[in-house]
Amino acid sequence: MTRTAAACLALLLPTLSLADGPATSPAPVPVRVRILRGARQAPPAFDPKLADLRSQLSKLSYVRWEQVSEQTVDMSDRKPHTVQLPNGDEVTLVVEAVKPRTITVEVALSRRRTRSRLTIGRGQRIVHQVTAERDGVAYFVTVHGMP
Amino acid sequence: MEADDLALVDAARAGDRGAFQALVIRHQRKVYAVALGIVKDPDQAWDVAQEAFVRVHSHLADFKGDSSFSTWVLRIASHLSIDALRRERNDRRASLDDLHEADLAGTGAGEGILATALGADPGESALRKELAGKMAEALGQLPAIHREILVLRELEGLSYEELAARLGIQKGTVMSRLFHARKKMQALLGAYAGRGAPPGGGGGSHG
Amino acid sequence: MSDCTHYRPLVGSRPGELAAAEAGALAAHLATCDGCRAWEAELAAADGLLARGLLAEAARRDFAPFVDRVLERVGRRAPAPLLERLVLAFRRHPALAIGAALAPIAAVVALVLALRLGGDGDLADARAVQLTTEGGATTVIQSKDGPVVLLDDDEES
Repeated sequence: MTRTAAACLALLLPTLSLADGPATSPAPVPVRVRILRGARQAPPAFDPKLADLRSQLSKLSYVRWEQVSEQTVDMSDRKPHTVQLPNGDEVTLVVEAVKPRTITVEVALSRRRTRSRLTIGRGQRIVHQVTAERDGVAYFVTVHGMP
Repeated sequence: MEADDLALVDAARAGDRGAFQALVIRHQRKVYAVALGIVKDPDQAWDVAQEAFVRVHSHLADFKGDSSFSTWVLRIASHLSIDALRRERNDRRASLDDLHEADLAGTGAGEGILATALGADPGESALRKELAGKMAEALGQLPAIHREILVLRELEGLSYEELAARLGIQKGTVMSRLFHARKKMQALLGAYAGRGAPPGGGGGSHG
Repeated sequence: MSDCTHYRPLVGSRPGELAAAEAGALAAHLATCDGCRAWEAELAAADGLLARGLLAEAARRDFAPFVDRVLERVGRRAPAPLLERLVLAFRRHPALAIGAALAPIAAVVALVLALRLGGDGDLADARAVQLTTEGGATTVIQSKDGPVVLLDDDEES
């Protein structure tokens, strides 16, 4: 039943457009991309570099959070940017649209055939798990667009 | 994480069902996994896991935060699971806990199944994932008292002292019972893991 | 070998679980006993595997009905339709997880979720959150700081 309802939602909801004005020019947008490592079975610790993500990460049951890498990339509209992950996988990010108050980013994990398109407001961040959990450890990418 | 759990517990205690819902969603899979490991039957584990959350809800006012919420709900789940088993099982505890020379067979040098099969760097191997699945499967073939002690140790993370208190047995019995449980598990995994082991390295005793 | 009947069950203890004297005696025994060292290696290799296996089994189950059933049992009124529940959850608990009510999202259909959130001051910069997920099953947790997207464990590459 839930899936049926979800399928109906999929048909209905795109008609509820976001009243955020037209997309802006294709000028490159600086996007801050970080790779995080979360562990469940480890002494609890929270990397101070991740302080701005605390409220999001604290919703998860991982107890140890570390930042693995960080980069700021000037991303053009629809031009893919690939980030290597510590386990050899990769995640591809695409800025789909930049509007005055929002940015839409696609997060694609080709090996899992998973693709998420997320629209966030100014000051918000996407936290997206990018590897399956193994031995209590999973990797995440965070995306913070700064239009 | 835990600080957030406590905030959710406070909100749930004040009648916020959304907060309680969030607590259930956050912990449901691990609670179910603990119940499944002990009671073995998926439907019974599902019922036990639900009952655990119902009891949590009815005792929210009693939760003092001395331990984590996770510890609390897992403890309730494992209690309920063990109670469910005790209603059914034929108790052969004493004979299962004794340790004799012959019991060491299959656990010594040259007989390691997992260490040999997984090699020096087991972290990310596909075999490791497969073995994890096989281990969960093999758990169902162990006697109830071995399932419960392994789950309490490996999933709930209880110490020897906590296991002794929880199971009402001596610390020495905890250690010997864990040993027997692990040895049986190793034997069950032997044929599977030995498949990929070098000649002479696999194939543990199934005794 | 008779020492081994004493020491082998002690192998696999965690730091602090054995009395200092006992831990010292075990270490001395291990230094001289191939069999107990092999058992130690065996336990180290198995570390975490059982938990991982059971959690993977749990991850394979569809938990969508679980929380609804629990809430019914603790006295909740009949669940509202899905869309209403989602909107209510966003409005009442913007910082709480609601995405799991959707999970696992079937791979077949792309799910587009666009919710208007007007009125909440702390969401002023994100009056609407749009999410599309397709492919592998995911769980989405929404917070005022942005979405958290989790992968389900059951289709590891």
